[in-house]
Amino acid sequence: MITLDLNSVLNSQYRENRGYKKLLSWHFLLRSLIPISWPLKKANRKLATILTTLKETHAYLIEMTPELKGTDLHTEIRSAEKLLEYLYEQQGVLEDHMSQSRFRALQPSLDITSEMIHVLHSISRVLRKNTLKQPLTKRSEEAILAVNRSKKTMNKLYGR
Amino acid sequence: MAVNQRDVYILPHPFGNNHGEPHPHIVLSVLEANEYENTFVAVMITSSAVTKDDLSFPINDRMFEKPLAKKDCHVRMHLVTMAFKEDIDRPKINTMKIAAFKELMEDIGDLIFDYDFQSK
Repeated sequence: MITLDLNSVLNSQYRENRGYKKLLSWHFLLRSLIPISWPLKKANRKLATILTTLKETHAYLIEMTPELKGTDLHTEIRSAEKLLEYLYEQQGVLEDHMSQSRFRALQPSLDITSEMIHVLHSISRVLRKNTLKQPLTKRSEEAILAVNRSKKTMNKLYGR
Repeated sequence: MAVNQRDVYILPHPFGNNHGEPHPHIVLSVLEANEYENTFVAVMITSSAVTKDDLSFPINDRMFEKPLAKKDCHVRMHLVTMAFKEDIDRPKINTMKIAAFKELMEDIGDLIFDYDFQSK
């Protein structure tokens, strides 16, 4: 049995979005007044720590795979999804600023965020692969549609 | 018309739109294969909360070049279908970004085929 609160991986500063907002505001407001390389380095160190924790979590889950199999991991899956959505949003905001040369100093923050997203996708994959599967009660309309589309295409191919 | 990998098209219902709602699809196959016999392989997107399960790949606006038309969409990774280019009756609606597409392919490889689809 594992318990994994992925949202707690992000410290409160980032969870409440203050961390990422700070990264941008240093550039908007403070760049001309104070040297920003020190607070940027500090922020990136924090992000790198979060990335390390995510990598360790992934390694732990891989190691625990035999024990995970068939466990209900849906809470953890939802937690990973929520965190992914949040990180994609922050990555997008950083990317939007990259077209302006004065924001280029944020590139390391963007790189770390992108890697965090990649690791989190891997975590989500392990969780979904091993979680207890819910029994299917009814075949979906979409499944019927997908099969019929392929069937129609194959018939047309043979009829050529 | 060139159908490229990562393009998103709304494909009509195979028996006509009166039979059901058309769904957006992400093209998985590469241009060279799509040109060969004018067929392509795509995977279905839906916004149905009822069908969101362990084989769903949740998607968001930031994974695409343009925002999605509906909220809470997900890819039904096991519903990989084959279609003809002439089935497409309207222009491309979106394109998935490379990084997100790679994650989707890795998920499809691992969860649907138990195979390593990691790109080179």
